[in-house]
Amino acid sequence: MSSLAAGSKKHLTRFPDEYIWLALCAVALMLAYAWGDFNLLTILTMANIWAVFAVSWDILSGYTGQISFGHAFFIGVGGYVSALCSIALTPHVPMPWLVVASILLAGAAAALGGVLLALPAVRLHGPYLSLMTLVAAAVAERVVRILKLQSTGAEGAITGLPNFGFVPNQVFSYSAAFVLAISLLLVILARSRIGKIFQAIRESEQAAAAAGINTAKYKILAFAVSGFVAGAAGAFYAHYLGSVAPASHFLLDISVFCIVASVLGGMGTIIGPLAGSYLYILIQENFRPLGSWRFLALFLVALGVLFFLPRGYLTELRVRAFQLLQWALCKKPRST
Amino acid sequence: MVKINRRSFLKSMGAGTAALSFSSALGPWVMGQNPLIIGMANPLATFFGQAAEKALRLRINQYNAAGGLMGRPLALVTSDSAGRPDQALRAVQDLVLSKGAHVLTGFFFSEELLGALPAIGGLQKIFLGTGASTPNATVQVQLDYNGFKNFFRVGPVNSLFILQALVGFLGQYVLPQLGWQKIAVLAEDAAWTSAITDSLGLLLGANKIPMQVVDTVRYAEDTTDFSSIFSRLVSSGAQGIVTVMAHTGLRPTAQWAQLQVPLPMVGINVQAQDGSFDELTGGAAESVVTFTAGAKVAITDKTLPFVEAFENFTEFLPDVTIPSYNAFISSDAMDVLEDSIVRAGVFPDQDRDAVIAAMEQTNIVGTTGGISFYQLNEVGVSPLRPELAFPHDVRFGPVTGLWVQWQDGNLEVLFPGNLTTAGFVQPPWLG
Amino acid sequence: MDAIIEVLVYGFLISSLYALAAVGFTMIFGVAGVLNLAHGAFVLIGGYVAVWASTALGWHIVLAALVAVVAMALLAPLIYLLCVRPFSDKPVIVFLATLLLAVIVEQVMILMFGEKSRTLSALVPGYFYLFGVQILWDRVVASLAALASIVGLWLYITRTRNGKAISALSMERLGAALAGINEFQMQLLVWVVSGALAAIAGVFLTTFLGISPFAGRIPLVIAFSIVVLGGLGSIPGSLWAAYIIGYAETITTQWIPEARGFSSLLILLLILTFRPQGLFGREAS
Repeated sequence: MSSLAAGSKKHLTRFPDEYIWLALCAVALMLAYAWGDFNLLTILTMANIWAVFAVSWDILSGYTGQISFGHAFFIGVGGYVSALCSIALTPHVPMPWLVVASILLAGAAAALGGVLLALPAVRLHGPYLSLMTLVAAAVAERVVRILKLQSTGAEGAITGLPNFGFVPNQVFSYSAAFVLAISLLLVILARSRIGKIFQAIRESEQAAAAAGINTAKYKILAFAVSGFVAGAAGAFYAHYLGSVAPASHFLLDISVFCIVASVLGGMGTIIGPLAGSYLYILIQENFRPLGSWRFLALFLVALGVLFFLPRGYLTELRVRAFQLLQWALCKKPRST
Repeated sequence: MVKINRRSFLKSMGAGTAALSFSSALGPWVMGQNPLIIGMANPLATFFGQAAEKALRLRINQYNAAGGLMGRPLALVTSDSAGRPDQALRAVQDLVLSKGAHVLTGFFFSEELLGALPAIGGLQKIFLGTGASTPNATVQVQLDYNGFKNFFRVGPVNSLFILQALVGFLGQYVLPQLGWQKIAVLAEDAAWTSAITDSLGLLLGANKIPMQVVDTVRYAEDTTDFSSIFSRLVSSGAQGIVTVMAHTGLRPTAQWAQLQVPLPMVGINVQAQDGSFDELTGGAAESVVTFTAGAKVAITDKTLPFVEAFENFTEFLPDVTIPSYNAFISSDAMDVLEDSIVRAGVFPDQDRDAVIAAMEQTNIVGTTGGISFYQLNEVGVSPLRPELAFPHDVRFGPVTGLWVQWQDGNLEVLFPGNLTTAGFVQPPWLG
Repeated sequence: MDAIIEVLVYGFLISSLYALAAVGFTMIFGVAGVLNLAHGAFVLIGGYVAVWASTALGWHIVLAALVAVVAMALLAPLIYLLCVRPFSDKPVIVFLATLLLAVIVEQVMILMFGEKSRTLSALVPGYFYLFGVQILWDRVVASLAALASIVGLWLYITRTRNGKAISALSMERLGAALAGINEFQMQLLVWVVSGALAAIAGVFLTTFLGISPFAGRIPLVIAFSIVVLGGLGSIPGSLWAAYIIGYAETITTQWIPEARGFSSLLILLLILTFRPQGLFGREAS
C-alpha cells in the first residue's frame, strides 16, 4: 500500500488552480456571511474547524502516502496542551494574545509529538505505520483519562476555557480566516519543492532515495507539519467548545472523518479535503430531519463517491473544468 | 453525477431543510397560534432519549388539550445529540437557530452537556437539564452567573450528591437491614467515581457509620473479563459489593451472575435502570440494587398518574413502556416551566430574565420529589466539596432518589423507608 | 499462588478467543494483501445474527450460531466481489471501502437493534473448579472451539490441495497462477472461511461480553494487533501473538485493573519500534 492509486493528477499539477479554488471558497464563505442565517453560519463554523483537521491529515497522508488512522492524536494533544496553557497563562496574558499563544503552543507540542511518533514510524510502511498512529491516539486518550485533570467534569475533561464568545457571525469569521489561512499555507507548501518531495516519496520511496533524497527526514517533516496544523486546530476547537475532553478531541470519529472527507474531495490535493469536509459536514447537519439515520446516509454517500468518483468530487470537477477550458480555447486536449 | 456547486448546495439544503423540519414538527393549527416552542436535544437513538421525548410529548399534549399553558399552545421540536459533544452543540444551535425553540431541555450524557454548554450560554435560551449529572455545569453558573444563569438542572441531583445519597443508603439501610459491616467497592475507573473511592471511608467515619471498606477495585471501562476481579473481592472478606457504575454495568453484572459470586451487589448501576436490564444481561437482573430518580411508586401524588399516562400513551413509540429516570425529570421540567411562567406572568420569549428570576424561587412538587434550586453563592451544600456552590442545581433533600431492587422482573423500592415496597432479596444462588 | 493459577487459566481462555477473532483477518491480509477493516463488522454481524435468531425467532443457541456462521460465510465473499475485487489494483480504495463498510454496518446495527448492549445465553451453562479457580463451562467450550477451528484451519492450509493453493497464493501470486491455481476461486474460499471464523468469534464474544453496535471495534483492534505482533499472514504467529496479548491483559487486570487497556498498546508500541515484521513475519511492508 505504498502508493496512492487514487488516480493520476499529474496533469493538474502544472497549473496552480488551487489558488482559484481557494479564492472561490473565500468568496463562498463571504457570501454565506452576508446572506446566510445564523444556523448556516454555525454549521459552517464547525465545518471550517473540522476542515483544518482534514487538510492537516492530507499534507501527511495524501502527500507522503503515510496513511494516518489516528489523527485524533494530534488534535487531542493540541487541545489538552492549549487547555493547560490557557489555565496557566490566564493571570499573566490578556485575552486575544492568550488564545494566540495557546494555539501556537499547542501546535508546537503536537508537532513535537508528531516527531516523536515519526522517529520509530519512519521505518514502517503501509498498515504497520497506520496501526502505529492508531496506537498513539489510543495511548494518548488513555493517559488523559488516567490523569483525571479535572474531577468535577465528565470523563477526563477540562472545562471553562477562554473562548471566542458566542456571536455566530463573529466566531464564523474567525474560523473562516483560520481555515483559509491554513489552507493557503499548506497549498504553498504542497506546491513547493518540499511538497514535490513528499509526493515523490509517496509514488516510490525507493526511487526517491535512489535520487539522493533523505526520505526519513522528509517523512518526519511531514509528521511535524501535519502535527503542528492539527494541534493548532485542536486548540482552536478547544477554544470554540470552551472545553476539551476525550469525547470531543480524541473521538475516533474525527480520525475517520479526516479520511472520509479527504476521500470525498480528493486525497493529496489540500483543497480536495477542504471541499470534502464541507460536503461531509453539510450532509451530516442538513440531514438532521432524518434523526439517527443521517450518519448512515452520509456514509452511503461517501461509499458512492468512492466507487463512482474515486479521485474525489473536487478533483473530478477540476479535470472537467480543465477540459472545458481547453475546449473553449480550442487547444488540443492533453492526455488525462 | 450532478456537479455540486458549493453555494447552490448550501442554499438549497438550508432552505429545504428548514421548510421540512418546520412543517413536520408543527401542524398548521398550532403554527397559526404562535406556540411556545420547546426544543429537546437528546441522543435519539437511545432508550433514554426516546423515553424523554415520549414524556415531553405526553405532557405537551395534556397542556394543549386543556387549552395551552396560560392560554398559549405548546409545540415540541427535537434534535439529535448522538452522545457526542460536537453533535450536542449543533443540536442546541439547530433547535434555536433553525427550529426557533424558545426553551430548551434535554441531554443524557455528561459529555453532551459540557460540549453544548457554551451554546447554551451564548444563545441564552432557558435550558432545563434532565440528565447529565456533571457538577461542572452548575459550577459554571456560579463562575459566570450572567453568562449561564439560563441553565437549570431539574434533575438528577449532581454526582456529588449521588455519592452522598450512597453514604446515606449504606448507613441507614445496608448496615441496619443487611448487617454488612465490611464492604468492597467495585467502581469503573472514571473521574466521577474518584470522589467516592477516595473518600468513602472518610465519609462513613464522619457520619459515624461503623462500616469498613476492605477492598476497592477500579476497573478500566473496556474490561472484558471480570473473573479475577470478582474472585479478589470474594477473598477480601467483604459481606457485599458496593457498585459505582454508569457507563458500564451490563458486562460486570452478567458475569457476576454467570459466576454466581457469593456476594450481593448494591449501589449505583445506571444501566440497571433500563427496563430490559434482565434481558440485556442474560437474566442476571434478579437482586441487583440501583439508584434511580423515579419508579412506579407514589413518591409524590404526581408520580403514579404520570407513569400510568406514560404507559397508556401508545400513539408515540409504543415499544417504550417504562419511563427512564430522565423521562420523569422531563415531566418535572414541564412543571417547573409552567410554574415559573405563571408566577412571572410572562413567557420566556417575552421576558427571559423575569422567568429566570421566578424559576430560581421554584418550590413545587414533581414526580421525583420536591423541586427547588440552590442559589447563587450558596456554598457548603456538599460535604465532599464544601467550597463549591451549585446554583440552579436541584436541591438534594426534598429530592433524594430511590434505591430499588430487581425482584421477579419488577423494580421494588427498598429505601427510603416511607416508599418501601419490598424487603431485600438475596441473589438467587444465595437465597 | 491462587492469583497465579487464576492468571494462567483466565489468560488461556481469553487468548484462545482472541486468536479466533484474529485468524480470519490474518488470512485475508496474508493471501489477498487486503487490510480488511470490515473484519470487526463481520464479527459484529455474526454476533447480531445469532442474537436475532435466538430472540426474534426463538431458536436454540446452537442453531442460532450456525445461522450466523452461514450468513457470514455467504456475506463475506459477496463483499469481496462487490467492493474488493473490482478495485484489486487500487489498494487504497479497497482499504477505504472496507473502512466505510465498517462504519455503515455500525450505523445499520444501531438502527436495527438500538444502542443497547445485547447478550446471548451461554452455550453451556454453569461452572466448575480447577485447582481452586472457578471456571465457566462456556469459556472452556469457547476456547476449545477456537483452538479446534485454528488447528483445523492450519491442517487445511498445510494438508489439503486447496489449502496449499491458498498458501502458495499468499507467497507468490504470479508463480501460483503459473502453477495453475485458480486465483479467483481461492480468493473466494479465503473470504468464506474468514467470514465463517469471524462469525464464530462473534457468537462467543457475545456470550462473554455482550454485543453493541460499536463492539466491532474491539475485535478489529485485537485482530490488527495480533497480526502485527505475530507477523503478516502467519497463522502460528497469530496464535503466539494472541496468547501474549491475552496474557498481558489478564495479568494487568489481576494486579492493576485500571491500566488494563495499556498493556496491549504498550506491547504493540514496542513491537512496532523494535521488530516491526512481528515474531514470524517476513518483512514490514
